[in-house]
This record gives sequence, C-alpha cells and structure tokens, in this order.
Amino acid sequence: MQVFKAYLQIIRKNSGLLIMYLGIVVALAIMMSQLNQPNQQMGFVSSRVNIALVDRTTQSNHALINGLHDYLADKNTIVMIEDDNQALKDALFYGKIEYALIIPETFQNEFDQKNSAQLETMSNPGSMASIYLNMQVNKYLNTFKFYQMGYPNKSQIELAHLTLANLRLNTPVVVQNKPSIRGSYENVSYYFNYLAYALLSILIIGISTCMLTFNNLDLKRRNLCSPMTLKSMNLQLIAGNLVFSLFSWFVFIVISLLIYATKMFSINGLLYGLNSLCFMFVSLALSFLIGISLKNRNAQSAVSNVLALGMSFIAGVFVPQAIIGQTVLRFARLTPTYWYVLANNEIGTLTNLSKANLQVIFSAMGVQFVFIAIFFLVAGFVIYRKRQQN
Amino acid sequence: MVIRVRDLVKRYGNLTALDHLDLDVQAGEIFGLLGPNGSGKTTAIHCILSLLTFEQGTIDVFDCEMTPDAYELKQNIGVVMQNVAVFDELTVYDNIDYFCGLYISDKAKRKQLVQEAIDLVALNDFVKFYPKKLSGGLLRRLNIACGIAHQPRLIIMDEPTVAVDPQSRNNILEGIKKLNQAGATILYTSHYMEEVEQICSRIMILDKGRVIRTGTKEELKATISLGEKITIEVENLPSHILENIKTNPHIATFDYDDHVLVARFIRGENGLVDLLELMNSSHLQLGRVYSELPTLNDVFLELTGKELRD
Ligand SMILES: Nc1ncnc2c1ncn2[C@@H]1O[C@H](COP(=O)(O)OP(=O)(O)OP(=O)(O)O)[C@@H](O)[C@H]1O
Ligand SMILES: [Mg+2]
Repeated sequence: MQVFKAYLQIIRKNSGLLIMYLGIVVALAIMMSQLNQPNQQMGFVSSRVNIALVDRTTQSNHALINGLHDYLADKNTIVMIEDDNQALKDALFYGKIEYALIIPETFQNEFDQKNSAQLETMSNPGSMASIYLNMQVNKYLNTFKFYQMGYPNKSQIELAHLTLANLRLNTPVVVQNKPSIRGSYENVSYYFNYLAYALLSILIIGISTCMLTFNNLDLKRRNLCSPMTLKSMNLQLIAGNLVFSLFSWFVFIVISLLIYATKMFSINGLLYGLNSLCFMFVSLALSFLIGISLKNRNAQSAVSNVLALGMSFIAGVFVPQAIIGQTVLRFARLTPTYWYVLANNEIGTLTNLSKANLQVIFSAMGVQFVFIAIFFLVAGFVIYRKRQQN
Repeated sequence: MVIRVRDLVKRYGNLTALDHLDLDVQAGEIFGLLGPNGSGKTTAIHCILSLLTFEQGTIDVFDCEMTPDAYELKQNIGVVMQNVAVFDELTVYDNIDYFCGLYISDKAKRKQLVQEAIDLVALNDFVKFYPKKLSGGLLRRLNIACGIAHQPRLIIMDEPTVAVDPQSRNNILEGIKKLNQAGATILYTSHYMEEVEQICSRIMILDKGRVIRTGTKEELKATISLGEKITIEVENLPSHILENIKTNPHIATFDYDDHVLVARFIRGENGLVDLLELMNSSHLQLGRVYSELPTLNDVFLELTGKELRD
C-alpha cells in the first residue's frame, strides 16, 4: 500500500491550493444567494411615468393629437412644462419628468399624407421609460393609421374614438407558477454549477500532480527496481485517484448540506448529488488524461485554468445558459460541463417527477458518461503510444 | 556469482554505449566500476536492473536470469541511482519509509530499519525536512538511505557520492564498508578513483562502453609500465646530474622546473635510494623529498592515452 499511502501524502501536501478552490466556490455560492433573493414580484404591472407633451401644431383639427394626449394620460402623468428646450432639459435633469414628447408643426400633414411622420422625443440616456413610452406612442399612431386606412371616410374625431376604444381593451394576464417551487432551488443550482469549476480544477491539479510525480522517469525507474509489481502499482494509483475524487465530491456534498440543509433532503437534492457524482467521474477521467499527457508541472496550472475556467464560461457556469449566444452554446455542447449545467438547471426548476422532466436530466447525465468513455479511451491510446515509443 | 553479465551490447541509435561487456561480481565483494563521463556505467547498471532492453547478451543475478518481472530477485537488490529519486512531497523520514516499505511490509521491523538507515547516512537532524529544503549533499545521503534501508543482499550504487563533502563522503564510504561487512555484495560506480581505491576490492575500468582492465587495485597498477613517482625539491641542479638522470634506464620520464625535480621510474625499480645517493655525492641542498605510487589515473592514462578526469 506504499504507493496509495504516498498518493494521499502528496495530496495532503498540496491541500492548501485545493482548499482555496473549495473556498472560491463556497464564497461564490453564498454571495450569489445573497444577491439573488427570490424576486417576489411575479406578474407584470405597468408603472406610471411623468412625461411632458409639447404640441407645436397650429392647425385647428386636433383630434389625432388630443387622442394621443388622452391615451398617454391614461397610462402616465402629464406634467405641464413650458415649450422651451432648455426648460424641458432641466425638467429631465431634475427628475420632474422622465420623457418629453414634442409634436412638430408639420406633423399632422406628414401623418395624413405620408407613411411616416417625425416626432421629437427627449429623455435621459439609457432610460427605460423612453423605450416604454416610444412603444406607447407608436402603438397609438399605428392603430390610428390602421383605422384611417380602413375607414377613409370617417372624420378624425371618429378615428380617434375608435383608436382609443381599441387600445383601452385590456387582456388580463395571469402568470401561473407555484411560488414555493420557483426560486427556491435557484441558489442550490448556483452552488452546484460553480462546483463544476471547482471540482474540475481540484481534480486536475490533484490528479495530475500525483500522476506527474509517479511518472517522473527517475522515480518510475526506482519503483521498477522494487519487488512491487507494475499491476499493483497501477491499481494503487487508480485507487488513489478514485478515493481522492470521491472525497473531494463528498466534501462538496457535505458543504451543500450545511448551507442548504433541508432543501437537500429531497428528490431535487438527490438528483443534484447524482449529477455532481457523474461530473466527478468526468473530471476524474479528464484529469487522468491530462496527467498522463503532461510532461512537466510548468503547463499544469495553465491547462487547469484554461480547461476548467474556459469550459465553465462557455457552458454557463458563471453566466446562465439562457443568455449565452447560440454559436457559443453550440461549442459548449461539445463540453461535458454544458450537460452537467443543463441537468442542474433542469433539476432546479423541477416541480414534478414527470417522465419528460426526468428524461432531460438523465439524458444529460448519459451524455456525461459518453464523455467519460471518450476521455478514458483517449487516455488509453496515449498510454499505448508512449509504451511503443519506449 | 551475484552478478554475471556476458557479451552485453547496448546501442542508442548509432552510438554503442556498451560494447560486448563481460562483468562478474562475486558474493561479498565491493566491485568498483570506474570510468569517465559517458563511458557506459549507468547504462550497464540500467541493463543489469532490466530497466533497459539491450541488443545482445545475458544478465544473471543470483544465478537467475534478470527480467523486468523477476520480482523475487528485486526483493534482494538495493538501488541507489545516479539521479536522486525521491518524492518532493514526502519528508526525509517518509521517503525512506516509502522505499523500505516496498520491500518490508512488517511495520515494526521497518521502523527499525528506517532508523538504522538514517543513522548510517547521519540524517538524524533532518528527518522532518522535505527534500527541497536539503542541500545537494544531504539529498544524496537521503537517496542512499532510500536505497539501502531494507538491507538487501546486493546493493547497486551509481555515483552515490557526487556533490557530497569529503567529511560526509568518508562517513558514507565507511557505511558502505559496514554494509559489506554485514554481508552485502556491492556494485559501485564512480569516476572518483580515490573513492574506488579506498573501498573496492575489485575494480573494472570502463571506457567508451568497453572493458579496459579488471582486477584489484594492485593488479591494475601492476599492469602498467610506470612505477613510483619521485619528487625532490632542489636548488640549482648541476647539468652533469641532469645528464645522469637523462641517461638512467630506470627513469621513464623526468622534469625539472622551478627547483622541483619530478622523475617517474619504470615499474619494479626502486629508484629513490639511487637518486638520493646521486644528489648526496654532489653535496646538494635538498628540500622536501617524496615518493608516490601510481594511481588509477596513471593506469587509465597509460591504457587509454587520456586522463580519467576531464
Ligand atoms: N537515453 C539515451 N539516449 C541516447 N544516448 C544515451 C542515452 N543514455 C546514455 N546515452 C549515451 O550513452 C553513453 C553512456 O552513457 P552513460 O550514462 O551510461 O555514461 P556514464 O558512464 O554513466 O556517465 P556519467 O559518469 O556521466 O554518469 C553516453 O555517450 C551517453 O551520451
Ligand atoms: Mg552515469
């Protein structure tokens, strides 16, 4: 058992670095759960905005613009500001209004004769209100235009009435979601997603360090001079890899139990555990492959950073998969991390154990096993090539 | 026979590292393999330990064929490699314990053996150190302790004392003698002739993968034509004496420079008395006078035409 014992001693000597990665994940997970207090506001409520409306048209027929005024007044608060650019800017700056709509003199004519008419708006840079208000204005004008084209004989006043009546029809929307489920596993998912980064980093560093040590030519020769059989040595190394990996995984599970306590004692918790166990084997296989491919320790941290961080970034560990571009995600599908994260997110939103829900999760785990097989096959090939060279 | 090598040929590409090497190490001896850098000492040892494949030849250890899976033979062999092979992550003690543990599974016995090894190389003050914190010489001593802790019947050492200071080197050489007295047969390589002369009962001189000569140090020195080297400090040597020395048939070479006369006599001729009488007859004032026997370097020089040391 000398090799196995030495393996664990080597790991212990490097434990400082490994604990650092553990710390990163726990800190990130706790930080995210503080930032991500579940959002209580579930439905959509349109909020009123203070706006100014400046009418510079001189024509007497004001039905179009009056209608717009009424429509905007329904949804917002109209504040009276004098028709002066500087005054409007000041009002915006001091927060009296968030949006100013200026209707130029020629607007009515342009609107009647052409397909497009220019309106002037003012808002603070990056203001959400301006987007929202522009939508309201466009909606009114488009609807009005629609009626105007449909009823060419109707008067402007009639058209304005029709438009307002149409726009005032509200369709009630009810967001259906069991609030107890949604959000409650979100933080656990964060933790298990970060685990993909930390566990992979830890295993790459730990396993490749040990493999590099035992594959060091001088030490290898020295071991070959001893009565220990090659088979026994390899078995002990495998046992070392396995015990170290399982132990690392186990530490993450214990910490998740400490942080999330009762949440983990559920089907969701069990699935998180199972999925992370899959990923542990993925990391073990990949680390093994790296361990036998590396020639020295110089490249070790570079490889671990590039692989663990890189895969984590594109596969949605740090950024939700939902907001990652399609091209990147297509690449990410070629990494095991993607499937691990996919399963995690699925577990996080799992509300019932329907066959369809579980199927997504278990097939993502299945894909991870395909990666395990690929990594070990490639590793076997590398070993075979090395033997031939000697 | 503890080690028996016959007709061993090892090539690295075009380079013949071992050229039809024959080697016999008998039970109980300290056998020295002496040769300059690149002469094939390490290659020979790697072949003997089945770490390398070779083109031709046979190798027997303890009268059994040595193969990569001759684990029973390996059980009785201790190895100290030229390149230090220890774990950086293990302390001095744990390193010795690791290697000893590859041979000895009984814990109590191992503990005792590890302690004896530590005593032998005098690393008692450093047992808790990690190899990175050891000086070059201390590291060598650890390397030796790792190789011999299980007290094997055959110990193979490849230049174990490189970079070790003279004091510790003597300790180690004494330790090796002790191991030998306790029954171990030792194959020892070095390019330090003093070391080999000091401890080896038989010596093989190797050059470019070929055996130059084998024998005890006396036998080796007896094979060359040169005998003792006499050095005399003398002011103003008269020319008739120089002439006399020049024509002396027993003197192979001589040199007078900076008031120092160095004369090399042909083997078997004791020239010291004659030379001193010659000086006395002319009433010359002599300074220091000393006589040296030939060294292995002289042997090497005469046999190969070059110095053993670069
Ligand atoms: N792996 C190798 N590939 C090619 N040539 C090698 C290899 N190992 C050794 N050699 C060559 O074989 C010859 C013998 O080398 P070896 O290491 O056996 O010498 P040595 O007597 O141990 O020298 P030293 O005193 O420097 O340790 C040298 O010329 C060396 O360059
Ligand atoms: Mg050598």
